[in-house]
Amino acid sequence: MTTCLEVRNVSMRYDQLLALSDLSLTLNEGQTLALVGANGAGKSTLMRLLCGLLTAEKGEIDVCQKPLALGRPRASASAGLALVPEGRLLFESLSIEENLQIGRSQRGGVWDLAAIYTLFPILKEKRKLPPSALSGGQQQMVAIGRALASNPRILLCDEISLGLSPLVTQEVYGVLKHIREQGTSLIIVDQDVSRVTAFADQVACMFKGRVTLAGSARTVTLKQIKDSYFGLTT
Amino acid sequence: MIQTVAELLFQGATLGVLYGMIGAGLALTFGILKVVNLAHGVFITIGAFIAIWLTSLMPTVPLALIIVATTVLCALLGAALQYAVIERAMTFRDPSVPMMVTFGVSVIFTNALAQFAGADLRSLGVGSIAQKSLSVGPFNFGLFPLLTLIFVAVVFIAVDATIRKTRFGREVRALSDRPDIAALMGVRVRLVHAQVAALAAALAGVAGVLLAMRASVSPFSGGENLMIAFEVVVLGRLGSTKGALLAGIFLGIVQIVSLRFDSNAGLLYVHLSFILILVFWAASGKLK
Repeated sequence: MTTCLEVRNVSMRYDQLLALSDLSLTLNEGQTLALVGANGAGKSTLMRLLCGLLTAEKGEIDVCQKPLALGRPRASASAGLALVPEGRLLFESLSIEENLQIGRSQRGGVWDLAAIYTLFPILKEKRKLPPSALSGGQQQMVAIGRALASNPRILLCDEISLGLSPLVTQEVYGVLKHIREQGTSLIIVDQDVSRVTAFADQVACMFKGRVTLAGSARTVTLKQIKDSYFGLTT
Repeated sequence: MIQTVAELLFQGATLGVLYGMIGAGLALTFGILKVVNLAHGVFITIGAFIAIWLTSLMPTVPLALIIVATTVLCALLGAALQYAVIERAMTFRDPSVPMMVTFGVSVIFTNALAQFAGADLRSLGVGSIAQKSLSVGPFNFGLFPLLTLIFVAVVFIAVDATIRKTRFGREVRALSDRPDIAALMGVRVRLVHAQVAALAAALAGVAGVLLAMRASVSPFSGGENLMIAFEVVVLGRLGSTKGALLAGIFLGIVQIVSLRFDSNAGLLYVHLSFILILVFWAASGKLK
């Protein structure tokens, strides 16, 4: 299986605070990686680094065997990385349809506006409205649709179920399953560890900026994840 | 009585749309780039002087072409300044840095203008059209102010349509909302910033031409222009071009009506009404 993302020995600081420490991980094409860890473990920092919002102190990242220019959001977008950010962060001055259109890339692919509306029919009905007129779950659909519009190779989903009801979360995971079936690789950060590990192919648990546990979601046990989550293993 | 009121309102509106135009560029840079561009006033003066210079250089060229050329030159100057200077100042977290930089730019441009063009008052002649008028029933309207009103309305409609309907406008609004997320979507942040600065400078250039056709300008008119622009932007609820137009019309009407009762008032009642509205907003908790 081809590796579509390789992070090698990446370290990153916020002033004096070491947020990522010599971090390495890989993701295979078409697979899903569950990234778990307590608050402050460095999951969101890694997501922001991957999509170019932050730059690393040291280390390298390859996307499909090509080096990624760090700290350049356009380079990450061109390489095929797209972020569904924590808290959705939609553009309030834009209608729902405009939010989806702005993510559209020149790369081409299956995810055009019609395909996104097929995936989320409710968004087509409400396409002229501002995002504030939608429920939290519907806003998450816009955030996913906006990222999908760039036809990403790897979809980065940060805190995907944050603030959503269990029913809506289930619906969101159903959508992610469909996206995965189209061949898109996924990295999902979620506090619902059981759900995300049950969904993923690979698991990586982070603690204080390092990956303390990595492996197949089929073989890693919840006990191992729990120990790693609280820093009981190194 | 009705005739007098209608004519005062008309004169106020024609002056007001000019004020709206003076403020529109500043509203754009503040609303989208989040920069208080203190060089905006001098850009208006530069627009006026470019038009005066072009007219003296090519007296037979139609005014419409002079306006287009002035707009393009101002847009290029605005984009270059944004790209080379203001963009760098914007990388500092402290918002006062771009403000201080643009203040410095305004001082340099004002003195350069005085050095090259002289400190005399200048204006732009519009020919015989200035004397023509249009009668509608009992009302008598100047043709030139009427054309100015229509021209400014067309410019504002075009700017509004550009911001609301085009891909560029979509990127501009996204950048204004969430610059980091817009960058993730592939928006070329520096390019869009330069385009917005060009648009703002172009509007300042147009305002400068209209101002020079209506009154005299000197290289030192920038400060007064900036004050009007600032009042228009604040009353127009910060960053809205439509708001700037309405605020401009309001201030224009205030000035014309106050001059009717006190011919020496100048801009006194304009500034007073601005302060009073701010005090009222502050007292009613609407000032954020």
